[in-house]
Parts: sequence; structure tokens; C-alpha cells
Amino acid sequence: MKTKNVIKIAIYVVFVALISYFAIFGLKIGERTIIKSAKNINTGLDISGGVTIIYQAVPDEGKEITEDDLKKSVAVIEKRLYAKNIFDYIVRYDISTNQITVEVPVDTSDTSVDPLKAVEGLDKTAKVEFRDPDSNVLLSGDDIVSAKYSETSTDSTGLRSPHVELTFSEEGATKFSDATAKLIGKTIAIYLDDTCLTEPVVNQQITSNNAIITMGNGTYAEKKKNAEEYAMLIDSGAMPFTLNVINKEYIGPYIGQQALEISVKAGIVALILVCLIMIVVYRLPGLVSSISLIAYIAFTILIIANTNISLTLPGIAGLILSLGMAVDANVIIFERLKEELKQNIGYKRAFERSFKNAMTAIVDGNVTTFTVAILLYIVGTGLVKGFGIVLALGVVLSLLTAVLLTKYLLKEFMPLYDKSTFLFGIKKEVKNND
Amino acid sequence: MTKDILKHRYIFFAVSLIIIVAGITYGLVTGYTFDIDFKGGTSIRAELKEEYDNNEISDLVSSITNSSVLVQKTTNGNNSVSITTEAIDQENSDKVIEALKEKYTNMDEPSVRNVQPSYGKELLNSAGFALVLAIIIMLVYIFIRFKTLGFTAAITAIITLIHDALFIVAIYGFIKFPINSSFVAVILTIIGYSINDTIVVYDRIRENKRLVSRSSDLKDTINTSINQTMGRTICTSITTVVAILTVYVFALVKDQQVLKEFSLPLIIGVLVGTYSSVCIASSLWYTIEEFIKKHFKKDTKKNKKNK
Repeated sequence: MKTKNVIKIAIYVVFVALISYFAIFGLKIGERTIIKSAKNINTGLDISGGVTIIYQAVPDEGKEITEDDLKKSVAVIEKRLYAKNIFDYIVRYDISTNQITVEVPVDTSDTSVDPLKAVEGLDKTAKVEFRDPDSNVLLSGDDIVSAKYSETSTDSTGLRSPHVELTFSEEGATKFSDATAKLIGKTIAIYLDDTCLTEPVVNQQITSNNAIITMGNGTYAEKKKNAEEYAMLIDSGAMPFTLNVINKEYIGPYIGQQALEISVKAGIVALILVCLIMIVVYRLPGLVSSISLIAYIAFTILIIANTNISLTLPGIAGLILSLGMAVDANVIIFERLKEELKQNIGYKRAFERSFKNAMTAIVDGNVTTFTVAILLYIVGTGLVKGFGIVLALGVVLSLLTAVLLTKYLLKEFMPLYDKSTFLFGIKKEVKNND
Repeated sequence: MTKDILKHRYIFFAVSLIIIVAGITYGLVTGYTFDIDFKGGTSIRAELKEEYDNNEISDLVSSITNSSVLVQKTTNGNNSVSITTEAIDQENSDKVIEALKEKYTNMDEPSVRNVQPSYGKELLNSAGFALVLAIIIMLVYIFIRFKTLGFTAAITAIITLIHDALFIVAIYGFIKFPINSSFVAVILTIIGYSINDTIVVYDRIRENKRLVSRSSDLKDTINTSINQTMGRTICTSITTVVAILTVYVFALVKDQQVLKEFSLPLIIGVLVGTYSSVCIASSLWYTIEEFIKKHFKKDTKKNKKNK
């Protein structure tokens, strides 16, 4: 019986050690990285810096740039950043010089990727025009409400065919209907920034408020990439002016050069201190929760490193909160355990009852926090989103480690030391009923 | 020994109210400081042509402008730097450039630009909107899960959260840390921490209400519950505070301004969250319950007696 407990404990400990090893060193087979480690974590603009691009706004001839134009273009750039899944960014504008500054995080350690790829297409004017064969403009970007990427299951060649689906405004639909009525048998060309995307022949009058831009030649992957980019550009709207890149440079983190290194050191010291407190206050259960805590941190590192979540200062705040909640779950359980043990109901029942009674508080606390975290992720922008996703992840992981792992480990430890009151931090003599 | 927390409830209410009102008033009168992305400001870029330390420049500039300063290394040219501050006038910007030239004798003529506020306002709006929605959801969830405590308990849990948020705003008024993205993160974190704390106490009250006979006094039940959870409350607070305090001490020793501005409000926030869930949430709930009993339920009692 007791050997069985010891073996199970050993298995859990080895498992945690393995997870921690992967979190620190990762796993590489040959040249391929199978598991990314803490070193590969994407850090945000505030922690590791990024690339800064300064655009100069150039108005169309005879026009002047107003503050509203600048604001509009900032909104367009933000929409395009969201479409690229970049939530950690800074966009600033300066009225006196008509310049727009964009900062986005880039991975400076990976030299194989061009850092400017991240900002590709941000400065495209994205002027959409529908033209008749005589180059008269029939419809423009203002007539389009939305542009979405979609694909039909098969086209004439039997392959999946990517395209852009446009939705017109009411006015746009009327213009389109009039134009198609007039141009039966002729072509309508769709231009994006003076490049002709497609030039279909009109067969009949089209009265719906939808139109589709089909992709020309190329492989499925190429067409998909183009269609996605066009949809993103058209949907985010047109720039009110042309943007020229006048400066690109890498920019350091604003939290300071050594801040990341210092935070990591502080984090390790903090972890040791928290484990010490838990062990001093709760003895054996405290040791168990320290193992769970290490597992929690290792899991968190692994998930963040192996997904595209980029860690920012607010994200770290979210992690600290979920770490606090992981510790809290164990504290609630152990306080209960002490109480139940004092009631002389025997170790086994005390163990079962402490988990059962503690669960309502832990579940209610975590469900509330998790719901709020998801909500912040959905409705928030920028760093509020980043905070939400990290917090939600942290809450789930803390429940898995602080409740499940602690329970399994403690269950195996209990029969080994059920005669000792010292190891459970209780002063009163406890009768063993088992 | 059971401590009578409820006995002192009016002292707690008074202390909280005084600190919140005093802090926010002081903050508004002397002016809250905002980061460049919330208020706009001035951006100075220069090529220093020699090694430099971010903190040295930050100290140098803030000694002239009396405001928070962001210093970032850039790769453009030879040891270039980007300095962002609150909007400063021509005179001050000349002084800053003069001071920089004195210290870094080889530097090129810097470029100075004014910057409009960017994501700051939108961030505050977005966080505010998300929080209002979050509060509604928490209200509904607490009401459903703690039905035996009544709707007032859910309301007081939310008031406690607002108390915590206002407390942090008041603290920012006193210590003059800039309102920036860290501020938004701190508020969100503290609210998450505090609601968890309050729920743990409520959970115990819910359980004790089930266990003891109904005739038992609400005051006793609340006091017992707070005392029973006290060990847990203290232990959790201490561990969380120790963890963040470690970051703060490291930041202090290594002079990391941003980390300091991030960790200190978090420490205060955790302490406030603990204080409020022990001293404010249940006390306020009890006070409102008593008030309702006194003023609205008298009639029903009389009616029952008459029958």
C-alpha cells in the first residue's frame, strides 16, 4: 500500500520536473524545435521594444490635410493592425508635420524574418474603384460597407476558389444596379490602387447589394493570400491621402533595457519566497502546493511560448493575479483541512471534506474571474485584450494545478504521514479513525 | 476568540471615505499626471554618438520638466535615443537640449516634435466599457450563486469593487504616478483580486447560514464567517504581497522607474482589496440589511402580529 503511494508521488514529481525542464530548455530534435521554451516567449512592445515607422502624409493635389483626415487614417491603420492580429501597438500622429508614427513589436532575435513584414500593407491607400470600359468611375470605396474573405467549395476547375465578397451601401447597390443595366455585354473592371483586380463581363442587371471579386491565376495558397489581403485593405477603408515611409528604425523597450532581466530574477526570488511561506505555514501540504505552483508556472510558460500570445506588462499583471488565485485556492483548502483535522474525524474524512467544502468558494471565485477575463478579451482593445487572454489562461491553469494536482499529490502523501500532527501544522492531538 | 468586526464598521466606512475623497481631491487640485499616450506630449530624438544610460537621461530630463519621461534606445544611427515627455514649452525644450548637449558633447542637433494623444483615451474608454459590462455580469452571477444572501449582498460586493478602484485612483492622486497603461492593468488586477476575496467571505456566510438555526443573529453569522476565513485572508494577502514586493524591491535597488510604477500600486491594491473584503463588503451588507429591516419591514411584522 505504502510503496504504491510512494511510486505514485514519484511519478507526479517526475512529471512536474519534466514540464519544468521543457519550460526552461524546450525540446529540440535535430534542428527542429518541437517545444518552445521560456526564451521563445514573444514579448510586447513595452518589454522588448519593436520597430518604429514614421509615415509622411502627402495630400492629393490641391487638397489640404486636416486633423480629421489624420484621425481617419489612424483608425484605418488600427483596423489593419487588428486584421493582422496585432493588439500591442502604438499609433501616434502629429498635426504640425502631418506625420504618423506606428510602433509594433518585432522579434529582433529571429533574423530570418524581415521585421518590416509585420507592417506590410499598413500604408496602402486602398482606393477601390469600379470602372466601365471607358475608365469612368462607377462606384468607389465609399459605396462599400464591408469586404470579407470567403471561398466557394468548387469553381469550374473543381478546386476551392478564394474570393472577396463585397457588400454595397444602399446608394452603392443602386449605382451598381444602374451600371450593370447599362453595361450588359460589356465589362466592369474593379481597381485597387490603380491595379486591375478583375474585369468580369456583365451578363445581366444585378440588383443585389453583393459583388464578388474573383482571384485571377495562381495556386490556391497564392489566391487565398491575395484575397485575404484585399479583403483586409478594402474593409479597413481607404486612406484620405498617400503615406510615404520616411523613417524606419528599431526602438528599445520603454520599461528600460535591463527591466526584463530584473523582472525574471525578481520572479524567481518571489517564487522561492512564496514556496517558503507555504511550507512554513502549512508544512507538508505547503510542500505539495509548492510542487503544484511550479507546475502552474511551467505550464503557463509552455503555453505562452508555444502560442502567439505576446507578453506585455499588463499581461504580467494578469499572471500575478492568477498566481495569487492559485496560491489562494490551496490556502483555502489547507485552512479547511486544519479545521477538519481538529474535529477528530480521521484523516481520510478530513481530507475529503476539506476539498469538498473549499470547492464552492474556489469555483465561485474562479468562474467570476474567468468570465470577466473572457469579457475583457472580447470587448477590450489593445492591452485590455492582452490582459484578458492571459488572465483567462492563468485561471484555467491555476484550477488544474492548484486544485487537481494538489489533491492527487496530497491524497498519496496522507497515508504516509497520517500519524504526524507536526507535518500538518496542527497543535492538537488528532485521533486516527481509519 | 471571535473579533467583532461589525462593531467598528462606521470607523471603516469613515476611513475609506476620507482617504478616497482626500486623495481624489488632492489629485484633482494638484493635477493628475498623464502619460504621453493619454495626453499628448513632446518627443525628442537625438543621436548621442556615445554610450548612455536610460536612467541617467530620464533623471536629467525630469529634473528640468518635473514630469515623467520615457527614454528608449533606437537603432537609427550612432547611439540614438528617443525621449518622450509631457508637452513642454519652447523654453523648457531648449533647456533640455542644452542640458543634453552639455552631457553628451558629440551629439547631433536633435529633432523635437509635438505628439497628439494616441491610444490612451481609447484605452480608458475600452477598459471602462469592459468594466461596466463585467460588473453587470458579476452582479448577476453573485446574485444567482448567493441567493440566500439576497440581492443586497451582490450590490455591496460591487460597491466594494468600486471602492477599491476609487481607492487606487486616490492613491495615484497622492503619489503622483502617471496615469498610463500600467494604471489600467493595476485597476483591472485589483478588481479581480478583490472580487475573489469578497466571494470567499460570502461563501462562508452562505455556509454558516445553512448550518446554524435561522433564528441566529445575522451579525453573529457574519462575524463568525469573517473570523473563520481570517487565516486564509491573511495568508493569501501575505504571499501575494511578498511576491509583488520582491519585484518592487528589485526595481528600487536597480532604479527601474516603470517597474516601480507598476508594482507599488499593485501592492497597495492587494492590501486595499483585502481590507475591503474583510472590513467593508460584509459590514456594508449588514448595514443596508438592517436599514431595510428598520424602515421597510416594520409594517409586515406588525401585520403578522395582528393576524
